[in-house]
Amino acid sequence: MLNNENQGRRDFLKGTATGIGFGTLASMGLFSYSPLREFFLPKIERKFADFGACKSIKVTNISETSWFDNATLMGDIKGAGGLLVNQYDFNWAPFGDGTGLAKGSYDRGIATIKHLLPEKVDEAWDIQKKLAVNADNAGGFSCLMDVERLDGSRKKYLLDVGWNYQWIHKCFKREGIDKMLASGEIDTIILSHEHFDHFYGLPVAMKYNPNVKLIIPEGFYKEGLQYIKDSGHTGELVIAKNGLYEIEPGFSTYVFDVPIICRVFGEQSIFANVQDKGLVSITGCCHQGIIKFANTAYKELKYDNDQMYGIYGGLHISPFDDWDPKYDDLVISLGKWDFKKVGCNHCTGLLTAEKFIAAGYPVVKGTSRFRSQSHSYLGNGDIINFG
Amino acid sequence: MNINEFYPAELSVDINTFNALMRSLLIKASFDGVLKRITNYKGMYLSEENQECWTLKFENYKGVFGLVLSNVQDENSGYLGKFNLYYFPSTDDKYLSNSSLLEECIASQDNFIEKVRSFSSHVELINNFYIGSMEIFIDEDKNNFFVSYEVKNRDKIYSKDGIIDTHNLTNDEYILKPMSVDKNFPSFKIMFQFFNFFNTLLTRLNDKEPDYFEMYKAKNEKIYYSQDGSFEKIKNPGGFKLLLSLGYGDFNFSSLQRDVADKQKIENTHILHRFMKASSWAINEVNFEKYNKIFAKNSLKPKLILVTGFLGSGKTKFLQNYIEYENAKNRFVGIIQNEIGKVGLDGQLLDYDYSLVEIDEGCVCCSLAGQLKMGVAKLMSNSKPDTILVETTGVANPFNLLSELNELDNVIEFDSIVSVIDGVNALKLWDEFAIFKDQVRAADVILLNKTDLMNEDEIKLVEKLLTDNNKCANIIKTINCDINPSSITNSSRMIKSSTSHIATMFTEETPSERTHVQDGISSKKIDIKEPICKDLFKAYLEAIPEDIFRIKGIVELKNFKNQFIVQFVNGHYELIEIEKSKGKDNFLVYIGKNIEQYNLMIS
Repeated sequence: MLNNENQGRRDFLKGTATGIGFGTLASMGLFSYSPLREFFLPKIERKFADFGACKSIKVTNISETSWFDNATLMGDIKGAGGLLVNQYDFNWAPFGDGTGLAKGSYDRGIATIKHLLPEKVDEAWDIQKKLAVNADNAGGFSCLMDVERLDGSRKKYLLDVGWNYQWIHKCFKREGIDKMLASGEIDTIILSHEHFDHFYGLPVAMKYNPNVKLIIPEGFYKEGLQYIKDSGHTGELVIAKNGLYEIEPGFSTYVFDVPIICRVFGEQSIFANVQDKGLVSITGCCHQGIIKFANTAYKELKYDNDQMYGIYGGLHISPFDDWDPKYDDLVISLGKWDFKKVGCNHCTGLLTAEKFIAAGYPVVKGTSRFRSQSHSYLGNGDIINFG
Repeated sequence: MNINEFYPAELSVDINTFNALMRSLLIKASFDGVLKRITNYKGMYLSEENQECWTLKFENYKGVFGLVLSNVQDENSGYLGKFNLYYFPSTDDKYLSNSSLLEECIASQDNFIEKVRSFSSHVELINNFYIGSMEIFIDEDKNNFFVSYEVKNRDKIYSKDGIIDTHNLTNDEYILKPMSVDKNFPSFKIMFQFFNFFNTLLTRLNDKEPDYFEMYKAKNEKIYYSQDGSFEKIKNPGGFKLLLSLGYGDFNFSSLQRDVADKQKIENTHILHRFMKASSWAINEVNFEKYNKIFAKNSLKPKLILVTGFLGSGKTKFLQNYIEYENAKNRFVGIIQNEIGKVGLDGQLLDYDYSLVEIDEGCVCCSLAGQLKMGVAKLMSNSKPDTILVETTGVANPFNLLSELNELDNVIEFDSIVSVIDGVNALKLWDEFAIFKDQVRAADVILLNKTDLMNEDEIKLVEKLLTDNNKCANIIKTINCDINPSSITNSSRMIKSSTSHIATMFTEETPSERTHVQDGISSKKIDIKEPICKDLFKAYLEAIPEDIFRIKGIVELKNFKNQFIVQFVNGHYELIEIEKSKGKDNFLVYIGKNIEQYNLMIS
């Protein structure tokens, strides 16, 4: 009964949908009853937190190849039970115990190699190659950030420490990271998030300087915190809370409280303010999504020229599937912020990187060396300068 | 319930905490493929324009669900957050006419859906479309989770004085007659979809059904409003309000029940209670194991999409795009491929060999003897893909595959047939090859590709050809087959009649349909021992007879360090340098008519 009545009387809405404003209907006495009438929060103001500025920042890609064969990795994840499975249970190196996929645990795994850490990382990995699942597929993500301060002095920071001890050890030696750690030239390591390919390689760095300052985002689970100790870390451990954590003028990290696959929580991304250029961001994986991270920067921070200048790292659009596929497009989203320099790799996706290039975005291409897949990526050994 | 498992950061009584908590829960939902399938989840969007709000969509509802935090409170022993739920009907939503006239008017506006995406920034959206509220409580120790809902079974609003048609919009004196119904919205029914989704998420995160579940009924009112803007609430004896609450943990949850006048408990023997408990979030205590197995992460069947398309249409590009989009969402794609002729060619031409199974013996469509089944079995033994793409040969007839796909019903869920069409050559191919016609007719989704190489008129002509011959398929124009996979999954449910559905209606086995053999198409492979001179090769390709419409291969050219991929389609060709030569053999595969007639040696 109701619907028929409605059908008839509402046909006029279809014909005049664009012509009739609800103001017109309201003026005719249409009522909108709602107990929520007062519920309308004011526009959120931009905070413009001033975290200073630096002159330039140079990023060297130590390794972006987190793993070498995607099919193998995805097969492991699926075989273990999917994206909600705790990463420490996979029986991946370096926490393999020989019992097979998805039957591992941190405690049993670390017991096989703890006595060798951090001095004998290569030997430890050799043991793991026999016990763990698909150890040779592991690579790792790590990059070197060289900050030039306004006064001309320079300071180096390491972002992430990769996964495969032997691989990352080789990469460290190739780029001279081992010497920089040993001499104290690098005295601070920032870990973007607890994921295996960014974190498991920690003992390799500890071998050369166990006394570094380690900055981790809030959200590490107990296995991760234990591993930091078991890796031989003796220096200061800073657990950055959600939000901005200032490291030095113009160079900060921002912690995002985002849940990540394989039971990880929290990722921090580097925000740098390059004088006269603008905001530069360096991400591990950007699991929070570039929509969230760019919106956060826009709302919270003050940066030169109010310009998003550069971005480096792995890029995810967002942690969700958008219900409207036309918005679920990284290429379109990135275009909105008008970056002047883009260096992408790792989890961005090769085709996506190629689409960035095809769309005319200012992508800095790589040389495709040391097992990096393509020129569209800023690959292993490649450098990008901001400022 | 161990809340640290999904939100290990500090909690406090503020907006940010509860928004972060909800965000975390919804992101966790995104990782859970099983949850998404069970609850028909389609996707979500987070808007941070002003107040953070979320919108979600489900397969079985055309409208968009909205969720926004409305209040936070410091309870004695924990943290309480209150959320409001909304439903924004689409213009073709059957629930649109149940909404109020004002709501329907708002929903008919052009930019409605775009506004809905950030609905908390729009007054008219926040003040209408409300369906119910949800309260979440977490105890100080983060061990207990309580959620309660309040919703009317029907939201009824009447216009006391009626609305006089002063603008002559209808043929009546009144747009709304006095004392007639303006809004009669089935709030509970709609909210049930969200309720199911959210609670199933909680149950799965908890790995156990809730320890506490209670339902209460309370009085509902009808609202009558007058011309002057005043309104009265009148008792609605027929209607009722439902209060549902669930608790995970060992807290004294009943102390958290909302204080609503005259509420009556609904006993667990009541039909409504039993109906609620027969849902995916409330695993039957006795039969926990049985339900657990059904939900076990490995037992949902992967979707299978048949990808067909004539040689050179852009199928490979489609696969590449599909894989990359899915991988970015942490979903795994398996591929079954073959090409006619005995060379597993595309395995080398694709950059991604994600669990690729190649069927080399002949043609998938013709030698039906379990080839496809074997391919699927092999794929499933190596990995557990979310989606399987079967790329048939360019000259395959998809109709021939339907019965075999039917036999795989216990292993896979057949989703749809996607045909990739080379728009540039479509009209010509239609006249020349009957197989092409079959590919168009069998499609549930047609990707009209290479539209960047066509003008408006050409596109219209091809579209007409396609719609004349397939009135069910969803036709999407593409460039380089760049399309978001979510635009084509579940296609078979959304179009009028999917091919597989039609096929099941006609169970008679009609013996072999047209195959490529009848069209006189065959293939030939030639190994190339020496590097070729580039100019000579180009002249050679330019002189290839029309009968040979496809050439694929890898060659080494004199004076060039890297090998080149050769792609030749209907007289057009491309030589693409391979960046990383993996020391592949050099060869060329020719596909066309009457191949035996031609001397294909390169001299």
